[in-house]
Amino acid sequence: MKKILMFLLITLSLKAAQLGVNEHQGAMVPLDLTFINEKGEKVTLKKLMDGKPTMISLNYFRCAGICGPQFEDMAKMLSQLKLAENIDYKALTISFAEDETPALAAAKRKTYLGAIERPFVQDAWHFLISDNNSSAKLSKIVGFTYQKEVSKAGVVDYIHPAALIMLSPEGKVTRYLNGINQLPFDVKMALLEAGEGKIGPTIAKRLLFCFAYDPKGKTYVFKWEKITGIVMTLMMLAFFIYLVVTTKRDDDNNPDHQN
Amino acid sequence: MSKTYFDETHCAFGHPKSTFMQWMLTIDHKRIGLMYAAVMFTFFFVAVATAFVMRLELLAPGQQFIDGDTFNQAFTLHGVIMIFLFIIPGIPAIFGNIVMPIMIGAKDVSFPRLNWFTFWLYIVGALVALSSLVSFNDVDGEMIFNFADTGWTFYAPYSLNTGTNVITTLVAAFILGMASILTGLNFLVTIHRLRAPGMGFFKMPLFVWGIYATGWIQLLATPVVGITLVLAILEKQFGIGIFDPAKGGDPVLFQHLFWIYSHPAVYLMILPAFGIMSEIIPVFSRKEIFGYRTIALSSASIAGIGYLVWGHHLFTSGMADIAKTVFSFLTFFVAIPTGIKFYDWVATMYQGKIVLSTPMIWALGTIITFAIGGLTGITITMVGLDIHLQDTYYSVAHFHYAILGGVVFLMFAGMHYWFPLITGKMYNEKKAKIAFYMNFVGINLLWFPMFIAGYLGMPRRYFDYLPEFEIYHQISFAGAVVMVSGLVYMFWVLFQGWRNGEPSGTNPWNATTLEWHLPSSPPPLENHSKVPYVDFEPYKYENGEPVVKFDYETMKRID
Amino acid sequence: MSHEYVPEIATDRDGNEHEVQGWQDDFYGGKLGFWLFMLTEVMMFGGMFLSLAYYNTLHPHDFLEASASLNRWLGGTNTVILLVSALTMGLGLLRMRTGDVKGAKLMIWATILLALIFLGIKAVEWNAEYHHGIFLMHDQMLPESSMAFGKKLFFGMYFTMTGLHGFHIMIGIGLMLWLIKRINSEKVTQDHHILYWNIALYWDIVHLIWVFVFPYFYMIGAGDVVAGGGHHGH
Repeated sequence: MKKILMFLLITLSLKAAQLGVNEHQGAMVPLDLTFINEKGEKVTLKKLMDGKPTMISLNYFRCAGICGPQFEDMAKMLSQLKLAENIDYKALTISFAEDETPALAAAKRKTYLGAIERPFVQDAWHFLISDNNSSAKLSKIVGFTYQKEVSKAGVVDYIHPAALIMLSPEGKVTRYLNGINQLPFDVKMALLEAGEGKIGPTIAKRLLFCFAYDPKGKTYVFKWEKITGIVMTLMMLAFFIYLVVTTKRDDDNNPDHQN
Repeated sequence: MSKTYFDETHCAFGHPKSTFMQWMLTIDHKRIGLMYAAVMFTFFFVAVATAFVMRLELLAPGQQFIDGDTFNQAFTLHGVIMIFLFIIPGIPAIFGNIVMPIMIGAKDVSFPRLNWFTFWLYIVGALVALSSLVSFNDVDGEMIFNFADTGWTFYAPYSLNTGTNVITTLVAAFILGMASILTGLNFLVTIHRLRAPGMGFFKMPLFVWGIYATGWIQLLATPVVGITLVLAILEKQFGIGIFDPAKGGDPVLFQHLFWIYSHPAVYLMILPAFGIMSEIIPVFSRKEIFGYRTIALSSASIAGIGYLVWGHHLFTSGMADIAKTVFSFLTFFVAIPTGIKFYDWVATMYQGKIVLSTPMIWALGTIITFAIGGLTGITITMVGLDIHLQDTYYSVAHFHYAILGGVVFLMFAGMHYWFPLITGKMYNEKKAKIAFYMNFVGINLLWFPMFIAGYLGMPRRYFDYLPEFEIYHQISFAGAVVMVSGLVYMFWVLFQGWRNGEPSGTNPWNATTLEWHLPSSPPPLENHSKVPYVDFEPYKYENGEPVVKFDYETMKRID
Repeated sequence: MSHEYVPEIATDRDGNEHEVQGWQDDFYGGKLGFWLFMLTEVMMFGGMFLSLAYYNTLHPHDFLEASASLNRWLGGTNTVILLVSALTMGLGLLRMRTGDVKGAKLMIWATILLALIFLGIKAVEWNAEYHHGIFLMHDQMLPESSMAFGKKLFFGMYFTMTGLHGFHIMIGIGLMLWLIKRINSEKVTQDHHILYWNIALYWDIVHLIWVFVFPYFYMIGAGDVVAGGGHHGH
């Protein structure tokens, strides 16, 4: 309940401020962007992604608003996500605030990795801060907008949306999953899409064939029409084969017959 | 057993011994017609398969199996094959060749060697069209599917700018157009010169009238599209400027030049088909045709007026209102002779003894489907309506009902009617009727929903669509499954009939026209034993029986 | 084959005999067929004239200026050459009909010679235009050039139509050479010369096309209509 209210509040203020996520599907994020990781090391996006489809959340670590709920949901989702972390995908939480520290990033990471309910390869989810304005650049490319707000007491806060942005291994933006709550199935399908079917178990790849993203419902739906079409086509082809087979059978049984 | 045209033949040159070379070099109009049929129906099924893939893709919004660019190539391929390789050679190439000379008592067409040349010109055009399917990558020679993605109408400026194989396809279309011209020329001279003694123009069967009127369209309209395609090729290759706005050219000029041919082309398609209808209705009503002269003259007037209406394809291109009004009026006008034909056919059936054999039910089914096609054409002749319905599924449904439900259905009717003439055998009547019903149900399921979808705004040639149109596409797909099954089944029934059917005799329908008065079935090489003297009208029945009877050895009348 | 054809006779119910026209040896049919084919050629060039007339109405002044810049002397000479060549072709046909095979062949060679001269003069003209920067895909004809739209369209159609016309001249030369070969092998004779007849007709149609091409492209800019009048001689 509290979460929903908070979400509504944020959304309303976002709308008021005309902020939000402007989807730039197909945009290319340069892989040589650098970020600072929890240990204070400068790393390129390329190294962080390690050639895998990557989900990116843009937040800031001092956020008292929706980031917390988003991280909690991510932890829950990652627990249930039926893909091999660090092998099939990477997760990056990147701060867009200009003044965060590696220590804070490390602390947040510890908290939420700890919230994952199963053994989880730690290297799969990193918390990063901006290096030389890289977060701002990344946010601009993917269409993620945010607004700085300084309170009367001088406290700096940001109004921002919540989303998971999927990147292909080459850095192409392939899908946006908006909101705080994400179904593990939707994330799985989005990652499979981003990986162009090159990751995941074979059964999972077949799923890409049968599911499509429904932008209105904001979830992946089973493409029953596609399946129905294939079934009906196969039935039609079976009819043609039947014609050929009965012709052959007819010829064999009755070489001189009349029609 | 006397020799038929399958046993012996005349060749363009030489005296080949092998059966294969005898077919390759034959100048016999009947064999040439059969070869056209074999090639054309093969292409027909390729185009049907392409359309089925499109229907499968369009079953739901969003991408299912193919991407948007491939979809564009698919509808272009479907259109190019159906129009240039199938329906324009169409009935003239098959039945004009096989049946028309026999109907006028001739031994062949006026220029049999030209006929042979024309068939192989068609094959060359077909091969060039096939070659336009693929391109070879400059870098590593890899083959890619690079067929044109412009739609079969090749509108400038997109056709000039796209990197797909437009020029090759245009060259193919030009060659195929030449073949159409030469066929028309051959038939025109044949009908003028080789009619049996005594057979004036108004004693010719109405199918011959249809082929005659068509010949004039083939001759006079096709060159215009020929030069239009050449100009498009020159524009794309040498930048002559005629369609390029960067040099002052007008892309809409391309549309005008293109449709100056392509509209008469649809009359080229339907007139022979109407000729087939005029043959079938009297035979299976056991009655003389009503209004012979008006049907004959209406064919001529449709051919004539049909040259004046092309602008109705350009109502949304920015023409002046006065031009739109004139074209609209003329288009309403050209529907009148067609209406006359329909009334004459129905009047023929009135008080006749209707025999519901397969050719007749195809003809009757066509009366329904072509009426729908024709009447919906009238609705979009109204300029105000066309502004809304142009380039929607309404147009697509209209022309499929008219071309498929008119021309192709009558071609199928002709196939079932003249099957015993060509093969000497009979097909299974019951199965043939089932095939008809499958096709009839299929065509209506497939295309009727499109009238509604188009009216509600579903655009044509679109790869994706809003969810509100989904139900129509789903019904259409079901129709596609039924129709394609019906098509395959129909061909299977005819194929089986040819292989295993009962011998039919020379006049199984007890008809009156000259092609049913041959000494053997299938026909001998040079058709009638002797050319008859024709002093009678083509459809004389009395009490349901033909009046004119012949001795088939001397071709003298014995009634 | 066509020389041994004997037409059939059909008898009507009163016993009267009627000769059946077969497809072999049909002189009239051969003429009719070729006339129809020539109609298609007229329709093809007609389509181009239609386009030309359309652009002319849009850019009347540019068309006049562009026309004035063409060389009327060369164009006019070509017109006379084609006229004479039509004469020689016709004379050759007359000689063939009277049995003067040698004379007929001489006339065909004369026609071929005249046709080659025509093409030569055309080449000179096109070469001159090329050196003035006016040629397909070249200099002034490119989209970026400053030449007016009307002139670009004029010259685009000029090269297209004179080019296609020249192509038909070349086909004509080929047909005439083939005709000489057929005469030499006695397939074309005094009694069977439909081929000669049709090729002469072809040549007449080619000339007819030029009779419209020449004035439309060369003559409309003549006289004092354009400032400075006249033409540039090269």
